[in-house]
Amino acid sequence: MNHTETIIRIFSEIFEIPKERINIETRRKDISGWDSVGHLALITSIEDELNITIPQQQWKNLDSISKIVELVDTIA
Amino acid sequence: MFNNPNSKWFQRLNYRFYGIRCWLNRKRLHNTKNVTIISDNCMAGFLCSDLGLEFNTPTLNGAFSPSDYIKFLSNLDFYLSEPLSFSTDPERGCPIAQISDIRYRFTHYKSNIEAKAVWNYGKRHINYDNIFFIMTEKERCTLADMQAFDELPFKNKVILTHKPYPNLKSAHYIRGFEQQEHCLVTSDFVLGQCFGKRYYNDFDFVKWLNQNTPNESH
Repeated sequence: MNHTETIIRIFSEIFEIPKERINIETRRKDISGWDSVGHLALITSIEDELNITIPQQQWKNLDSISKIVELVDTIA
Repeated sequence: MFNNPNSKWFQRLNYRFYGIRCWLNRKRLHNTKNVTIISDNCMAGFLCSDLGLEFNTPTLNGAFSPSDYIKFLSNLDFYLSEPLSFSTDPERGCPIAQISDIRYRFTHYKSNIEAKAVWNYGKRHINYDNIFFIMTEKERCTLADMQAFDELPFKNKVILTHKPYPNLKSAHYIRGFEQQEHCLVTSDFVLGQCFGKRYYNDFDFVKWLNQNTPNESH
């Protein structure tokens, strides 16, 4: 199952950015608010929403929406 | 040049050396597993970032008033079990949470959802066996607040103060705010130097954290 839409919605809510400005290519360096605390909020919100656990050792590598979607699709 | 905090070179050199300072401090730190740092301002966030610690605290990049912080610590379990009711700080535009009769300002957050997610994560990951408490003598902090903090039944606690308080066991005097009535921003770089020293570096947090290890705390 592809979770792109869900992840973009969560991203939009956390960083208060319109969904239209986010896409699968969005990277961490493109979003000023996507700092370490924002990253924590993003990952834990995705975990809660999809009822999954993303291993902490993977968190650092998730620096774009595409990487998050790719990983979540394999877990959920 | 190094007395002007807005100078390009002051910032550039301090950030460069700050990275080295953090690297050295991480090498010195032994107590790295499941550490919880609770603070009344952004100190917990700064220390976790400086030392590469996980964010095992709900008090990350936010602030309590001194009196609310004392209430929070005096009844930690109760306040952590209470729901957050959000409004917006009229001055800063950031989320503020009402938690029963106290308030916590999520200073560096973009949304209530982000604030709630980080608070809940930190709450779930508190390690009461390896927990540290920091208070800063900031604006509106009274001697009574500091005395109340000093008397809390926690082993690992420190108050960063703008002058010596010999009668407070937990007090640590941070140099540089002698002309003030309280500490200003302790995370600012110390004026007149370029070696990446922030005011809070006057206290040896690494030594303090190393004094407790999970094995010793039982």
